Amino acid sequence: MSESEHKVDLNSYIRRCAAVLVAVICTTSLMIWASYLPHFGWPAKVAMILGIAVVNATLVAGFLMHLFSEKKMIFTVLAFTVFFFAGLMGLTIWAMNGFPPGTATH
Amino acid sequence: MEIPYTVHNRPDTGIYNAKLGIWLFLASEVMLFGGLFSAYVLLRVGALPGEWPHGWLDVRFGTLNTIILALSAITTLLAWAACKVRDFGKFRFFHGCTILLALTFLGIKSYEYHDKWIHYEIQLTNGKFADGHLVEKSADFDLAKKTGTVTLHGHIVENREELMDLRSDAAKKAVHSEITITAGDIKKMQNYGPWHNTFTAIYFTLTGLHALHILGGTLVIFYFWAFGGSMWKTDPERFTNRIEVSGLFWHFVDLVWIFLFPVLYLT
Amino acid sequence: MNFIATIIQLRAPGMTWMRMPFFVWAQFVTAFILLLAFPPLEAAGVLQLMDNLVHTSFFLPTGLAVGGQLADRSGGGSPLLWQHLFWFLGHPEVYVLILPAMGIVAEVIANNTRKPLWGYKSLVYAALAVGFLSFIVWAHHMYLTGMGQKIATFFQTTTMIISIPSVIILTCMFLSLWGGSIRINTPMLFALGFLPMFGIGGLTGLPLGLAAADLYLHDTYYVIAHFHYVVAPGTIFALFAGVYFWFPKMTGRKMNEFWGRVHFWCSFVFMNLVFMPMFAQGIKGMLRRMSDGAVNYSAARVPGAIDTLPGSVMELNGWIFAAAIGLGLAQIPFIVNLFWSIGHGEKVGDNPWDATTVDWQTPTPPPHGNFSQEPHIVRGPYEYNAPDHAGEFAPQSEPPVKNHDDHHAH
Repeated sequence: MSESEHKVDLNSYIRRCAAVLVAVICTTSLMIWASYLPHFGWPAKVAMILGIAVVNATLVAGFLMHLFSEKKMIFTVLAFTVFFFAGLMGLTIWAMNGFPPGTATH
Repeated sequence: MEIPYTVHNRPDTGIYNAKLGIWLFLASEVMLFGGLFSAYVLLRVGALPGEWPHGWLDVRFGTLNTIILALSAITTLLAWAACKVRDFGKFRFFHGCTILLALTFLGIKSYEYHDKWIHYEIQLTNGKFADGHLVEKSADFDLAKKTGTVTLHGHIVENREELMDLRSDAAKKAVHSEITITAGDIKKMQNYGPWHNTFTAIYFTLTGLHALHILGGTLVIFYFWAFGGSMWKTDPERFTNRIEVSGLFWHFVDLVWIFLFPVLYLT
Repeated sequence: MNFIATIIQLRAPGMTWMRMPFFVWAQFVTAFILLLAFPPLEAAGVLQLMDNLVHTSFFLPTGLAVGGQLADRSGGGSPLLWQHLFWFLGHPEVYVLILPAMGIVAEVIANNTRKPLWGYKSLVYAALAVGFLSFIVWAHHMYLTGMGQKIATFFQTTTMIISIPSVIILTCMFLSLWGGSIRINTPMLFALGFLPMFGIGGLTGLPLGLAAADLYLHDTYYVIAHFHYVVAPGTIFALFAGVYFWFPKMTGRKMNEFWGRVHFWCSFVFMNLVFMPMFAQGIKGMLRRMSDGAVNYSAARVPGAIDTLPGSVMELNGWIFAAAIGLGLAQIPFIVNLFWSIGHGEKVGDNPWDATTVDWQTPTPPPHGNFSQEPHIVRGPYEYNAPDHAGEFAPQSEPPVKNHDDHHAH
C-alpha cells in the first residue's frame, strides 16, 4: 500500500483498532471462561479453547496484519504453510498413536 | 539499475518486495513454532494418565500478558498508520507505547520464571513430598553434607499425583504454610525448572523462544524509533514500509502468544 | 526468502512464469522446501540443546538406565519425537539436493542438443508436485519404528506417488535428446551421465519405499547404495556439469576439455565400481554402521546363527576400497584443471556455448546488478532455430528480427 491517507482517516483507524482490541479481549475472556467449565473432559475443552484461539488469531491476522486486504499471492504462501503445518502435526500424532495394540510406549 | 518494487507495489502481486519477504519469513516461523507445538502435543498425548500437570501457571499473569501484547499489536498498527499520514510525532508516541508494553511483558514473564525458579519439590526420605516456594535456606545448608535446613511456604503430600492437577478441588483445599525441613530428611530436591518434567521443559522452551522473539522485535522497533529520523526525512514511504514489515513480525509474535496462552495456561 | 522474493517480484520485464528457464523453476521449488522444511529440524535442535544443556527429557523416555543406573532425568520424553522432527526435514532435504541438480542438467541438455526441452510444462508441474509431495512422505524413513499398518500404508502410498513426478522429469530429459544435434563436451558428458545414474538411484529407491520390502532392506548397504547413487552420480555429476558449464561465465575462460573428459570417465567408472556392489551386499544382509556388517551382532542376538553373511560379501569391501581410491584420485584432474584454467584456460567471449538464456547475456564476470542494461524478455528460454530469428539460436532477450506482436507481459 503506497497511497497516503488523509489525517481524518487516522482517527477512524484508531476507532477500528479499538474495536479489534475489544474483540480480542472478548475472545480471550471467552477462552478463559471455557477452560473453567466443570462438566467437560479435557479433549472437549481443548477443542473449544483452540477453536476460540483460531478465531482470535484470525482477527489479529486479518485486521492487524492486513491479511484481509492483500491479494491472492500471500494467501497461497500461507495456505501451503498451513497445509504443511497440519501435515506435520496430524501425521506425526497419527503415527505415534497408530501402534498395534499391546505395544509398550513408555 | 534501480531495483523495482522496493517502495511501490508490483501490480500483479499487489505487494512490495519486503512485504513478500517478511511473509515468507513468517511462514518459516510458523513451521518453527509448529515443530515445537507438535512436540508439546506429542509429549502431552503420550504422557501417562495423571502425569501431565494442569494449573501450574498463573492464569491472571497470562491474561494480563495477553492483553498487553494485544494492546502492543494495536499500537504497532497505529504507529504504521501515523507514518502513512506522515505524522512522525504520533509514530514515535505509538511505537514508544509498543516498546514499553513489550518491556512490561518481558518483566511479567521474568517474574513468572522467577516464581518457578524458587518453587521446589522435595522428595523426603519418608516417601512423602514437600512442595512450595523457597522462603530461606539456612546459612549452613548443604545437601551433600546433609547439614542445615530449608524453609518452604507450601505443603506436604503423600504422593506426586496430588501435585499434578492444581485445578482439582483437592489441590484448591490444600493449606499452605511454612515448613522447615532438615537436610538429612531430603532425598531429592529440585526446583520447577525445565528439568523438572516434560511440561516445564516444553513450557520454558516455548515461552523462552517466544520471549527471545519479543526481545528481537523490541530491539528492531527501538532502532526504528530511535534512529528512524534520517530515513524519514529522505524517503518517508520506504520508512513507512519498514514500519509495516517490522509490525508484521510483531503481530506474528502476538499470534504465537495467542496460541501459547491457552495451550500452556488454560489446558 | 531471497530467491523466492526475487523470482516472484523481480523477474525481468517480459519474463513470464512459463518463460523461465527450468533451472529457475527448480531453484524456486527448492527455496520453498528449504523455507518450510528446515524449521522443524531447528525446533528439534533447540529441544536437543535443552536436553543436553539444561537436562530436560524431551527425547529421553521414562525409566532410562545409563550404566546400570536409573538416569537422573525426569523422563516422559520420546525418541520417536526426534525421529519425526528430524525426518520432516530429512526427506524434503533430499529434494533440495536433487532439484537444482535436475535444473542444471536440463539447462546443459537443452544447450547441447540445440533444441528446447521436451515437455517444458510437464517439467514445471512435476517439479511443483515433487516439492509439494516431499512434505508428506517422511516416515518412509521410519518404517521400522513399529508404527501401525494404516500409517505405514499412508506414507508408502505418498512415497509411491512422489516417484511419478520424479520419473516425469527424468523422462522429459531423456526425451529431450530425441532429434537433437547432440554436441559432446564435458558438461554434456556429466549431464548425460546423470540420467542413467539417477535412474538407477531412483528406481532402487522404490523397494525401500515399499514398507514390506523395507523391512528387510532397512539399515542395510542397499540403502547406502541407493542414496549414494542419487547423490553422487546424481547431484554431484550435475554439479560438475554446472561447474564446467558456467566456469566461462565466471572467469572468461573454458576449463580444459581433455582433462574434463578424463575426470568424467574416471569418475563415472569408479563411482559405479564403488556403489554398485553395495546393492548386492545389502540384499545379502550386510548391515550399516557396523564394520563387520553386523555378523557378530546377529551371532550374539540369534544363538547358533553362523555364516549369516557370506565371506564373498565382505570381500567386496576390498574391491570397493580400491575403487574408492580410484574415485578420489580421479578428482585430482578436476581440481588442478579448475585452478589452472582460471589463469591459463582458453579465453572465450560472453556466450561460448551459444546459449539462449539471459545468464549468458551478461558481461563476464557479471558485475553488480548482473546486466549492463535491463534485459527485456521476448521469447521462451530454449529457442534454438526459432522461426522469428535468423540465427541458429535466439537469446531470450534479443528483440525479434521481424516485427512480431510480442507484448511485454509481466
